Amino acid sequence: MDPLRDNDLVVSGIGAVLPPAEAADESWFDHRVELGRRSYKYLPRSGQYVLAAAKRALADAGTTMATVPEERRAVAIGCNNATARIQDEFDRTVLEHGADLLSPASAAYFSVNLVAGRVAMEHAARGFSLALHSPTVAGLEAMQCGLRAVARGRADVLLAGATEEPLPPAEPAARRSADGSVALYFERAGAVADRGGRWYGRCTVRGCYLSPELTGGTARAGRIIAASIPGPAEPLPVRLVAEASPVADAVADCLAALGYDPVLRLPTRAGCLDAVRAVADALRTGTGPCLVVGCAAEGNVTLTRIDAGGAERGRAVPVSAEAAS
Amino acid sequence: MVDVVITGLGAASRLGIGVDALSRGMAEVRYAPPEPIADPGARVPVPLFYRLPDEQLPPGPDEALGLPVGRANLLALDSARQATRSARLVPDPDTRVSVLIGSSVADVHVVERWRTDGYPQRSRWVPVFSAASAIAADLGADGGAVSLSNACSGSGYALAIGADMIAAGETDVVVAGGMETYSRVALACFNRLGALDPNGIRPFDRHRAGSILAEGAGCLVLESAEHAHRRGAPVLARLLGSGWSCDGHHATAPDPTGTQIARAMRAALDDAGATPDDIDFLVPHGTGTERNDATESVAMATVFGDRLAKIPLYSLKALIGHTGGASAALAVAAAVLFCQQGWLPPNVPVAEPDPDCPVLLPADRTPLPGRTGMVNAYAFGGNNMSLIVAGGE
Repeated sequence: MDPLRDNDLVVSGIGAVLPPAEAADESWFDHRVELGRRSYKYLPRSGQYVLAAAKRALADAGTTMATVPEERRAVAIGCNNATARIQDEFDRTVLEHGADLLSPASAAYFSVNLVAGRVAMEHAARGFSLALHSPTVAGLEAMQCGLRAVARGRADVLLAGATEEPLPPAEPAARRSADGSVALYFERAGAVADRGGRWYGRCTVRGCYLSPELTGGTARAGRIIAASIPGPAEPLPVRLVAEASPVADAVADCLAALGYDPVLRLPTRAGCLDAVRAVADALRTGTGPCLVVGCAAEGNVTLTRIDAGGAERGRAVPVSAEAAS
Repeated sequence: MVDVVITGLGAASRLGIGVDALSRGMAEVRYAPPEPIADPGARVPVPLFYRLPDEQLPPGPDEALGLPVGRANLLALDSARQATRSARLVPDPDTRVSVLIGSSVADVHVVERWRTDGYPQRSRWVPVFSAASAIAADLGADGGAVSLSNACSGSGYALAIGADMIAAGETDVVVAGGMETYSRVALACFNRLGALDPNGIRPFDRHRAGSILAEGAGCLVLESAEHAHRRGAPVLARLLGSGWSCDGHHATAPDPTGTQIARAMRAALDDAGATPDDIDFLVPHGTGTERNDATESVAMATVFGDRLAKIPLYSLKALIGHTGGASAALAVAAAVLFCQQGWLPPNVPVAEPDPDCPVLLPADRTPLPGRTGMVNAYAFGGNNMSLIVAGGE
């Protein structure tokens, strides 16, 4: 990649709210501890998670959005199942008792974009707020759409990421649905350097669609993937975050044929959290350029090039793995 | 700057399937009162909804990509097919086509039906927002398939993001739009928020008391003027610019100062290289809620000054209801038709205009002095979008 320029957007903060491996119930997260006792109890857990993840990302960056004019602040959040449970609760209330028993303070959260909108309210982000929902890749798409809009001049800083909470128990795949949130804070490299800050690295995101009917290794699939590689075409290690599917197989085959090695396949749960988590992990380990690819069985493919760990500019110092852990 | 043009349109609303149905319905002011939704589970004070008659639904698959196809996906799929047909877009491995579809709740009614009729015996996850994927598969599009919400401004954002993708050289052609259908949860929550009018939708009326939700879908084909010219595509209109902002104020209520929605309008004008004096007509968001219409009027007055009283508005939701995530795409489709025909259709008459909303809503067919219009779209979460559309000449 090119050397960093002042206007390049870099990830200066990472915040994650994820259940510990041994979590047996929902007690691992308490919004009152994370956010305070204000009106957060009316939010779905996914909304509480992402507020907490954003707060951690900004703390990790050592700054706040208040240093930037409100109209230059932006938010882009991906989610697939973030309001499925609250919609389920609402619907059962309506079916059994009627709409009058819905909580007016919670009712707005039937609208899934409010998960992102609530982050915008919290940080007075008036540049724009985006809510993305493509299967599995929505969190990466949130980064892509947010970064594109910032590059277009629609804002200067961006909180982007993903948030999910488990599907209602009766729904298909509920037991393997994602839970938690990861947020990344993007600032211009020059601004980070000016305040003596540090960054993890850069993310460059591209997307494509690979029909499940295209079999792996076909010439067309190879052309589509090759045309969608972000940044220069060079052999890099790949983390492919995908459920087992013909599309995932095709993506893995195409990347291997293009010289990307190794292609490490990582499982994903229902939702779009795991792909963003893989981006955060790659940024934190800072072992050099790599590609994180999110892939849905429905054909959505989003490729993120991570340039981490090597950049140093001005007073800024890359974050070490130890410092970030 | 890349000149982004609109080369295809597709529409579905209570006026029928297709752009011709939309055009005729507007020209003939085919108003109809909303009817109670046929859902015994919808225990709500205001059960009104505008829904397409079942017999008008386009034929379509029950499943796509192994997922159930609900009414929203079906209408979006059909609208995308209409749009690509009118754009004379044919699959070409050398043309990168991207799909972006906005919606508020997508096909969540499929899950709502499971709750009353029983859950399916399947282990595979059913992501509710999958319309863009299904459309991309149907069209043979490989430049990405993005499903987004941004609630009732969703398809406005789909169009704006799509135009940015073309300008950035990421894709050649964009099929962008939105869709919405009946959802028991959405209807119930709008009821609980006091956002529905038991007397029907009456934007800018002094006695308006809320919106009426509606089914619909709209899709447009965008590409650069150069790309359209190269493939001999019909240029219907130009998408000159977009303005984005977020109130960051309240979950459902607009910031009453209208500061951010005025900023979105100005940003769209700047993006288009235009001034307020260049705007010949407006298609407002105009939902019929007391706060939306008042706030939008304040913001329009801020941007257009005294001239606001002379710019004709076309209040589309008064005729077809509030189609949520589809509403911006349908409004832009209508604006394209206005640019082509050079006149605004008669508005549904406003019984008693609100003096706090000093806007011009002609009840007669109104010739346009020029061919440049602004379309506004707002949403829960304070997501604001303004788009500038101009004639294709």
